[in-house]
Amino acid sequence: MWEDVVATGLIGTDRRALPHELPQGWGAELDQDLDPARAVLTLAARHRAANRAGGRLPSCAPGAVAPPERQPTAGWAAHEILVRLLSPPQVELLNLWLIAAAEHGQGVSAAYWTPLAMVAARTTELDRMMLVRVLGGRGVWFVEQNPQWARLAKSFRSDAKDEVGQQSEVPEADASEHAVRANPEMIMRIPPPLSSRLTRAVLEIIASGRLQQRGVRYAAAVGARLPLEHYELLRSIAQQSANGEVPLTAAGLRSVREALLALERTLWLRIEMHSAFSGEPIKVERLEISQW
Amino acid sequence: MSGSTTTVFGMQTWPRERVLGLAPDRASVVAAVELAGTRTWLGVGADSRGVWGSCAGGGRLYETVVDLGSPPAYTCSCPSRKVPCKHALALLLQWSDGLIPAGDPPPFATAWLEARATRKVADGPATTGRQGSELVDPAAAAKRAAARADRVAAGLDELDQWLCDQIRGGIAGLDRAGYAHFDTMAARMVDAQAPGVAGMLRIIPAEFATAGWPSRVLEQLGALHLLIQAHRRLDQLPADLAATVRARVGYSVSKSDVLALPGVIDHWFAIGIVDTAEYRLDTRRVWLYGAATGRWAVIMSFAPPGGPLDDTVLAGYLLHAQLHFYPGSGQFRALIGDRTSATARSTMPPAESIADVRARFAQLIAADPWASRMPAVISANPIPCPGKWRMRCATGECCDIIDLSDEPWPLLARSCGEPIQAFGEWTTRGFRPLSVLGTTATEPFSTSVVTRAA
Repeated sequence: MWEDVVATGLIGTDRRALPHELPQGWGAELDQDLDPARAVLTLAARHRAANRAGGRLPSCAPGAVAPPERQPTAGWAAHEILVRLLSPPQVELLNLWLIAAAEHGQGVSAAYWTPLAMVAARTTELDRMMLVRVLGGRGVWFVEQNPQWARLAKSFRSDAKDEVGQQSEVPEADASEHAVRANPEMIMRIPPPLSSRLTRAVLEIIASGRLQQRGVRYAAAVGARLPLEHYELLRSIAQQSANGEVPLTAAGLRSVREALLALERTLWLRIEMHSAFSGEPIKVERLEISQW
Repeated sequence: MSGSTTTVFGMQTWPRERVLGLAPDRASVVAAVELAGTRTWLGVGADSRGVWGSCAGGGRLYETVVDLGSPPAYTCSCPSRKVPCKHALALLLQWSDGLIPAGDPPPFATAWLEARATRKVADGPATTGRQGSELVDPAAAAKRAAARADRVAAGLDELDQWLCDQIRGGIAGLDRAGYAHFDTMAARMVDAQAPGVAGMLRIIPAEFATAGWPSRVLEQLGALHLLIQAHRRLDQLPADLAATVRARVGYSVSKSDVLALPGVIDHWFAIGIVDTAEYRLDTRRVWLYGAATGRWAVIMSFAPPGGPLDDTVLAGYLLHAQLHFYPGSGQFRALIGDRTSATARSTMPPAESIADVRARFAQLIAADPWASRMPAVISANPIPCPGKWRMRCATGECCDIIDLSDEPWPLLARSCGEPIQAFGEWTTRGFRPLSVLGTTATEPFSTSVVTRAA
């Protein structure tokens, strides 16, 4: 019936008449003397209303279902920090968040699976092993559903095999303070936790200004490795720099200050994250490095 | 989480995404985020009017103040020409994160904020107030209204003739005539002071892009025909339906007249927001749900392309306010009247099946035959299908997911193949999801429904 009306509308009432017999209800109250064009428009309005209000809803087969999740989801405070790190994405700091979550055996809320997967698909700098642990079974299932993340999903499986022995570690027993002072990068290969002796050594290296332009990056990397309880050691080093105990040019002083700020920022973020994941209050007072 | 309002030191702050949305470009976002995380700020503070602070940089101390009014305003002693500059954005980010304590503004902030307040008073309230309309001569206003009604009636008579001509000659060639054919008639309707009708005409050519257009175009022409017939019988229609017809034709209703109507007091939760570009106009719809009344409302704002849209109410906000609804049956559009601080927790609307939503839409069509969208919370799970996404109820019924800027992967993340409670606009073409209701503390209310570049 409606197809007949559409056919008439397409060809035009000047060339095609409406069907004489309209189904019951359709032609109700249609004036027999009504202009055929107006009759078509009236029927179109009725069909529109009927189509919008009724009609058959389509049906479809159920989709795939994710496996159940076993690990608990991190709390609100931890996700507040994650929001800060994702907007815009700061990959090195995101890695710290993933490590902290994994260490506490907590997963990331599904609300953040998409942005994390997008970052991971864009850069290999995001720690995929940690991401897999934090996403959990459901999160990994989710990544596997998106064909655009197929390479990422594949890497989740292959990275698990390649994890072992990427970089040889230096036992702390072999890494003397003297050796670290000679080769500051060695600190990155010493397995945690670092001793206070080595922490003090790297802080002095940073405060000496000898790393120059590399200082900020090095300090941020050190901040990701120092034990949280060594935060107080930073206070004394910062104080020494503020007092000018280390002779430096203005440019040198500036680069040292930026490096210490980067280290403090990273270490403080880890303290915040530890508190957020564990629920323990922060017991140290934050340094005011900017006030020297 | 990111869409909700937070209270810090007794003050309501803006969500982080709202702050970042103020940035003039991406470089400003990056710089502001970096700056917000540093310890270079001194004397920061905030009150109900503004946020202030001094930022050390380049050997100087930049004094920054943000006026939290609507729209917000900024001042900073830095040399940047960007508005807002990275200092203002960084300050707002810290405030958003709850890192700015309440306090009394320093002299530089006091001077600027007070100067702005003085200017606002001098400029007077928005020109939509009741006083303005009360000054109008009622006889002259009635005369103008009658003249407009005549003009609209004449325009609709012309449209009626045009519609009949299309049907007599057949619509088979309309797809080749394209937009110009309809735009010409739409312009005539604008001249006839029937902008609503013009809008209905302008959207018709979009149907030509997909198969089956003759049926849909004929329906649209039928809807216009129905509106013309209804307008001719305005005096005989029930008052509510007559108001709906007038609204669809495009008769304007002044804000003061709407605000003079009885209001509905409730705790209104802003459950979804959608921005669209509709023929030389950016439009924002903010959907609200009343906790006690169970009533839906939509707050609309308009701006020229690229212009700022009203951001005083965004998704996730809870406001205790009196809403004044525009007249008309099946009407959701409202204006916000008196507001007070929200004291209750947000109450989410109950979820419905797709069949129930459709039944409710039928009631809306009965009240307003030209309605094209309706708010709804459906309990369903998103399913990626070849070339499209669908929402599927437990009973197997489904509907297309429509009008998304990108694929709705965040919806699937929330669902994992099980039903979620999604809020959106139910339309004749399908469901446009705008938010997902919270289930637990770690899976909260979220407006993230499509994949967005971080």
